[in-house]
Amino acid sequence: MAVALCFVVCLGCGTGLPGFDAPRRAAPELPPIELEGVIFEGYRGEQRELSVTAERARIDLAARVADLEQVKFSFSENERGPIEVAAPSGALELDEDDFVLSGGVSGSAQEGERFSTEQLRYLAASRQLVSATPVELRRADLLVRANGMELGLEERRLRLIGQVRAEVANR
Amino acid sequence: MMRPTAILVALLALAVPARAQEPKSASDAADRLGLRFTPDAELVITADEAEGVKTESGQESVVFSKRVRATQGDMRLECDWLQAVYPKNASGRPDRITARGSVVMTQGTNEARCAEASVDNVACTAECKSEGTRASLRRGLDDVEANAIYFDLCKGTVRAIGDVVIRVRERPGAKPEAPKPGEPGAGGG
Repeated sequence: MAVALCFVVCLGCGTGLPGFDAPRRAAPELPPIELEGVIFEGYRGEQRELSVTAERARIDLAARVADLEQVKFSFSENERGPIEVAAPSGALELDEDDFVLSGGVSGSAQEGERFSTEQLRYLAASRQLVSATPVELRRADLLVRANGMELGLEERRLRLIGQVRAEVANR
Repeated sequence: MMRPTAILVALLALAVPARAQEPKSASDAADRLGLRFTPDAELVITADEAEGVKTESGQESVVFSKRVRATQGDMRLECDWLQAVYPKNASGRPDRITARGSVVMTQGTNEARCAEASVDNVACTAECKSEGTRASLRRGLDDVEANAIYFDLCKGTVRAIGDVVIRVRERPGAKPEAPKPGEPGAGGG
């Protein structure tokens, strides 16, 4: 999957942008790039299947990491509604297309389901959202808690791991 | 030693038409060997793992595995694997539950055991059956064994089907029933 970068608003990075995709050998010489209003887009063929927006980003080309603030992640396909995840902060690993969202992540898992967790990782290779921190998931009057989760974006398959507890309150 | 009166009571509990044995409360139901659940009570399912999967008919379901326990009111279910199928109206309360692997359903002193159980929350029924082994329902020292045991969870009644064996055991220290006048061993005369 290719990740394209759109810079909606860019402050303080006048000549820095062309260097973002620079060869690895040139990276250590470049200072970190600070951006505001950033959109990362991932395409599979002509289909945009991944969109990550951040209010602010600090891109460290030496470490090959982009630190993001107020991040929103959206994964969509033609036939199914989007899966959306938001977090106060995130880190994008430039070489892997992997994200780590942290600081209190909330999102939608499947239709009508909302989840929250402290930290969530997006694994681009397997196209999975993975959390190793306690997860809380709500669907109507059902509340499910677990020690972690794996959400396969391809199959929309949610797996909860460790001390799973599903509660439906008194009617 | 089995007491004829107790055997008769147990047989009546199994055989009398549902209306005649309709219990008045959950505890009354438990007294009659059956299981009875409170459909509006809090339902809690715990397990080591769970996975959301769609059924063949497109309904949302959650499969719980490893050390599964479900409780609703005073009814408890333990098993190795449990699938809860949810209605399409996005309710959190499952329409149907299927449990497999060392299934134990308990309420009060009643305990049903089988390899596979299914609970239909809409029809208010449950079925407990075993392939190869037998389904059993135990209350205190007494038990019923059959190929399949069906429960009406709203009425608290039970129906056992296939090679039914009922065992009623004398309670330790129980006094033997006094023979009625005129019966052999009644004395007097």
